[in-house]
Amino acid sequence: MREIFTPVGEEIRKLRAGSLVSLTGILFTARDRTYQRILDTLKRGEKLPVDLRGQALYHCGPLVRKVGGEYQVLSCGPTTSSRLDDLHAEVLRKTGARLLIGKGGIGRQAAREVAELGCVYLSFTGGAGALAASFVKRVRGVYWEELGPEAMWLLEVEGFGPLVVMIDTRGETLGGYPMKDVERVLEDVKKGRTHSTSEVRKRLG
Amino acid sequence: MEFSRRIAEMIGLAETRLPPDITRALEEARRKERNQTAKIQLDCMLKNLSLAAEKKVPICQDTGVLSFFVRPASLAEKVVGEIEKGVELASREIPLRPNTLDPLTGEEKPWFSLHLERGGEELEIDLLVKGGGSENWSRLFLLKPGDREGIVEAVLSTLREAGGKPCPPVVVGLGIGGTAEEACLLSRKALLRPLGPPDPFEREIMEKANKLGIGPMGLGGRTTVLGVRILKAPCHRATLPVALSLQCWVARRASLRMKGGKVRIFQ
Repeated sequence: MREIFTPVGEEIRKLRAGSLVSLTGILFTARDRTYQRILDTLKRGEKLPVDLRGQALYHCGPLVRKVGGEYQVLSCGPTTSSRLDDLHAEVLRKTGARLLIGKGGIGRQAAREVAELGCVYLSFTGGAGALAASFVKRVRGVYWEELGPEAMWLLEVEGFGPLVVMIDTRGETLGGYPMKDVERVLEDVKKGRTHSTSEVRKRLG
Repeated sequence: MEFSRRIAEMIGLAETRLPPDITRALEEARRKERNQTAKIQLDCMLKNLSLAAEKKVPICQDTGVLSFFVRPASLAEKVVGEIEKGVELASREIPLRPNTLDPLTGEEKPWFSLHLERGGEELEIDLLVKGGGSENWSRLFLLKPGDREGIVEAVLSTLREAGGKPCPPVVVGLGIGGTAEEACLLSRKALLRPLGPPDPFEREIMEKANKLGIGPMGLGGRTTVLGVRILKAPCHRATLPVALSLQCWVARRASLRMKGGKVRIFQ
């Protein structure tokens, strides 16, 4: 498993779809409202509170507890990345972030845009929130705290992984499941359906 | 002990441990798997379960929306306040992520779903916990009467469309028949039934679904569906309501039974 350190540079062009990596550095959590806040801030001509160039945006709304004035992350698995498909490219272009981490993959169009920007999309196992939290050394900061779980949490991680490279900078995507098998199974069911529907009809007269 | 404490305890159990049937099904999926990426995903899931249990933290950061099914309604009325208190306690102590918002303004608003049911003599409460990722794939179909194959197609097309997004391998809860709203409720109650020997129709759907090859987290593999559970009700002769609830692999549930004044909490 290759280890990557953030902020990243051109070395991420060597990552290949389907391979496994682990990440050491800072995860900047960003989901629906965080993306929106980033874009709204920039649209108003204001600066972001943090420099995201070469950094990793993590699609995650962590479960966080405050203990004695310090934040403790209890569970921080990824959320569905494709909900943000319309915005990935704009956010990456405007912030200079180079890595997206989430789950479930992103749509074809968004994947192309991400690759064209020289960025990489990585996935972590959905639902594995306690496991993800075990890689967090500490919370380095939080911006837009009023957004709660959708605030931008800076999570310092060590060896966070295994992350699967799902989209690399060449635009290759991890095949995942073979779509033709899916279509074949569905075709069989549909064929059966016509037959049995007519059977049902006959019986109903 | 106050009853609200027991409610909080039940929520804690559901959030930090999976029922044994679900864990077994995940272990079985791992044993059967050949795809290397899928094996890694399943290993992460199983490791995550041990970590959550050991540290007593929620398995998933999306602690979901809680749905309570309480019966008999006559007793249920009396414990609604305790359930509210229990949810508050659990939200603070476990803690739970504040997940619910006003649907239009987006303002944070605590909320849970509550169903009072008929039947039973002593108090029974079932809790279903469902995250947002899988909830986005809940579907209601109004098929033609008797269209059995249409049900299979409805499930498979939804799974195809959903891919890795509902965090497979999923549990499929199917509500067949009744009215539109009853079918939806049945599909949720189906998810409360432990995975056990499937009936022939459940088995047929499961076998076909696992031929799709979507696999754990949609990265390919043998197990897309951990189990299929079906609940039925008679329906109008002109229609066939079919509701589908996909539950992520973190298929959380817990139950509480009152017997002779004693409370039992289990999964």
